Amino acid sequence: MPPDQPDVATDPVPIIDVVDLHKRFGQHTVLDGVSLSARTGDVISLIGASGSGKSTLLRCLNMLEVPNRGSVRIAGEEIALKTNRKGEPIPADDRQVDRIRTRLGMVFQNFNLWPHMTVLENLIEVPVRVLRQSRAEATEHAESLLEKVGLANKRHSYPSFLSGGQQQRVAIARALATRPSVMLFDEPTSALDPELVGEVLKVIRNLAQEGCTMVLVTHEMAFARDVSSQVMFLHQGRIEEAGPPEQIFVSPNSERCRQFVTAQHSRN
Amino acid sequence: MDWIQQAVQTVIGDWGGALMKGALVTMQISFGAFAIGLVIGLTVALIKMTGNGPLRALANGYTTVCRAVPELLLILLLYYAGSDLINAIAGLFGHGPVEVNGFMAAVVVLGIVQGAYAAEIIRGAVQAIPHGHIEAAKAFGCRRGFIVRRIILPEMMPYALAGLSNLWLVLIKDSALISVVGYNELLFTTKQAAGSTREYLLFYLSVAAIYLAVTLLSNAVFGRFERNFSRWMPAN
Repeated sequence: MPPDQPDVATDPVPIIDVVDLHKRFGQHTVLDGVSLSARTGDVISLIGASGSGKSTLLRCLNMLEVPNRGSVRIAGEEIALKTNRKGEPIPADDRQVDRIRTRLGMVFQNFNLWPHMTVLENLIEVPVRVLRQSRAEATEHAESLLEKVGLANKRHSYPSFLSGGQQQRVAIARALATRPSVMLFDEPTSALDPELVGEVLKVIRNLAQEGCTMVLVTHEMAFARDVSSQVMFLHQGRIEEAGPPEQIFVSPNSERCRQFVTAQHSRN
Repeated sequence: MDWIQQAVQTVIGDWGGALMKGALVTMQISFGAFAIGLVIGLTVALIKMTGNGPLRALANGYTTVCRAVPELLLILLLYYAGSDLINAIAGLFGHGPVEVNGFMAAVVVLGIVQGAYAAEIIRGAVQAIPHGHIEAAKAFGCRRGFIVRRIILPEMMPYALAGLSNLWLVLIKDSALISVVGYNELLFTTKQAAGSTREYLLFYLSVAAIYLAVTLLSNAVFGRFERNFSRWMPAN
């Protein structure tokens, strides 16, 4: 291999690399040895019943939950962990976690927009005040993102005056405003009225088609089947089955996975 | 008509200047104590919510004691015991007795009492913020101080406003307690005026009107704040 063509070009470091993750809440084991790897451009959907650990897994990626065991690497950098006096796992270096978090855009089930800021202010807050971009540059980028999610005319509105679907589209734009390497979606449509789900899924679908790397926790099976490059079915804190959507939804190897997707399918 | 003219002459002509000065002192004490109370309240509230064990115990002890003991007693305690303490310390360093500034003492003492109530108001208001809003800031890599300054403080204000405006109105009246340590504020001045003219009804009614006017003005100001917040927090 010529020296100007490093390994990285042919075998890129996974943008997310999770190995053997364990997470307990008290006596209750939520994650019981989960591994996950995502490369740039991947769209990974995490599916499974409530309590299967899929949201916890997603929240471990940016250390909103800190795993008891196992490692999380973002773009090759392992997040250092230690144990505090009570024996709980905590990040060893808060600065490292903050720095890594700025590269992961997160979208929550309950939007979690900051209500005292307008839509535009929500979008530029972190770019301007944390990432130290110029206000003009951040505003320009924010306006193009609002255009993209179809809410350019709401830039000066406050979140409380928007519908749930509009708020979630703003939240997606806010997460994109930091130009993250990966987008994390935690059940982005679960808190929405049924008639508002479509507008949000459409935005996420467009992102997937543009090649945005994402990890998505969802109950929208048809959508997961459509957009994902890989689907992981979690059951009792383990990955019961993982594979391309055709495998998971059409011919799963695991009986539990088959039952789950069939039940979801007949429900819809 | 004569009686009215006489009354106006007595209250405004003879005593107007003194009363105005008293009212000004009352407002100065109140503003000062409110500012100190807010700073103490905010600090103590944050300690209560995030501090370690010993600090939190200290904060809890402070709010409990300052809300349990009558304010009049606290003022006497902090003023006289505080003077003794300052003199003892001054003595240690070879200084003579120090005259404690009555105004500063009033502001600090009332500020300490206010801080205990403000801490509870602010703690309640911060807890009214949905946790997800703070979590979202964390997820974007914001540091703790940043989150307090940019998210928690502005977002808790509407929840704290009613409590804080109550606190302010109570404070204006509590500032009259400071007269027990011999400081000339509005009510103390009125008492002197009433005593020396023997026009008790006239002066006490006049001062009641002044307190009422201050309250109405305060309500207008707090109402403005409230309308300001309703920009982003629509009334349900």
